[in-house]
Amino acid sequence: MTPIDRRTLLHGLVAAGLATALPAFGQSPEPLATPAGGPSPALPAVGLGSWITFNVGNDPVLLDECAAVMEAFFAAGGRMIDSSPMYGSSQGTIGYGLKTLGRTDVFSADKVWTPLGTEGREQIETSRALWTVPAFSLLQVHNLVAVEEHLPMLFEMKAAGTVGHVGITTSHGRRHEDVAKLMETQPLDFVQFTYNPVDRSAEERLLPLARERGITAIVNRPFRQGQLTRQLEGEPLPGFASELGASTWAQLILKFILSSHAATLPIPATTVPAHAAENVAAAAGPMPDRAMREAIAAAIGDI
Amino acid sequence: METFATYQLQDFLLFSERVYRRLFEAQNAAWWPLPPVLAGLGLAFLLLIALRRGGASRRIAGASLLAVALVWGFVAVDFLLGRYAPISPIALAGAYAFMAEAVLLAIVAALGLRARATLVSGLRLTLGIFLAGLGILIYPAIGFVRNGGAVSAEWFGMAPDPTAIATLGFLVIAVRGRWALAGLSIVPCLWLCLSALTLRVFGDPAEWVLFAAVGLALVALVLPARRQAGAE
Repeated sequence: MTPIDRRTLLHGLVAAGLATALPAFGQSPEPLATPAGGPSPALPAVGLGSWITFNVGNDPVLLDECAAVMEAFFAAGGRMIDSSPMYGSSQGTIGYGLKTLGRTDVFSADKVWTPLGTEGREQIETSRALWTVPAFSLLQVHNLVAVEEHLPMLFEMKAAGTVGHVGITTSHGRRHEDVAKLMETQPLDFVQFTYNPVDRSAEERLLPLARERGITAIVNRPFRQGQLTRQLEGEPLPGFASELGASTWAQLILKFILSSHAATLPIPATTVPAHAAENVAAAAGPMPDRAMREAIAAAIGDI
Repeated sequence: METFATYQLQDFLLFSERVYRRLFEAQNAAWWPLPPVLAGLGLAFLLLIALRRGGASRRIAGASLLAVALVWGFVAVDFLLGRYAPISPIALAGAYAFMAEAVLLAIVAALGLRARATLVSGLRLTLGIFLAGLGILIYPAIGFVRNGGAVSAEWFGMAPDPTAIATLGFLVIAVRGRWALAGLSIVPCLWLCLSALTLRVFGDPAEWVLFAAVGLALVALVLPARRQAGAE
């Protein structure tokens, strides 16, 4: 098995609508991608999730630990952070980190999550204030809650220039049919769902559809909330991992996700600064070919 | 319905075990040495109840409920609202439930069901003392051993779980009427069940201590409340 050489990252190009001209698998020398739907600057292909890990309340020690994770993430070249009003105090934690670090160049991805369409704008404003950003780079309808009401509102905001991009989310393999219908009918820039070497149901419809429609797929639960990396701890890496420049299972899993047919942007969450940097680094270097991908899935499935 | 079946208990928990444990550590550090002082006061009440008889014991039990009402108010505002609610909407609801329980306990202590308080049966007294001891001594000791320090432990009067366990004990001792006992036990029992489910997600066997406390409180409801004539 040999990784295919390629200079340009597939993911960003798919997002820019150029993917059909490219082969399915390859390598990327730099973790850079271009987000869909607008003139935003290049976006590194691995983001930072905040589910569980950034819900630390008002504990000053934990707030500083989260800021350290963000610092390592930015220092490694990361840009995109994802959160939601559903994630407890995570939005405020991100805001604290951005202020502490003095960063204004974050690609801010948040969600609207309320069953009442009339409350959407108010919730978004509350979220924005917690993040301490002037406007969100991306707003997504969380778990398709009141999607019929929130999506038109988000498209209005995009047209007015108060949000950069629009998307929808699901997780755990839920409601893929509903997600697919919206991907087919709505001018979405991003779609978010669960995908990893063990949870591969997105390969049936969502990933091909994302590729076909030029929608960037944000991938949540890349490590199944840490379950995969915990299970794999101490297990030897496959021989070809060194060919890919992967020194950990986490990097191998991320490379699996990044080398799918569509433009994927995994958003692993972590409490360890070194892991945040390691995750961003996974987008660099060679990507696995089809045989390697299957070998990764098989190796993890066997453990 | 099919989607609902894919949810697991951990999907409803928004925070990590580390953040959860830090809540108690930060609470204790902010108020130290209040945690052992409150535990000492709780034990003093228990000792007095166990050693004294008749009217004196009744008055002490009534006073214990008033003291318990105060710590419920403190836990509601300082711990649940101030620390836990920012990471958990359930804790926010719990804060209001704890405040309501504090008011109820104060009313019961002040207006006394005191006439009906204490002189409960020997079985009820024994069970009550055990439950209160479980909350004041044993549960904090579990945290002490598991987390390796007194500041990391969950203390009666500072954290909701040991406070709820000990309160069930004081109620079993001080409130003789079944309906009053059942009504006042609702919030502590519901809270303990929710906390036990949180511990289950963390794989912490201490969940069974919480479930056991609820089970013992339910047993108390069916035990004879009144002492037999001449037993005093």
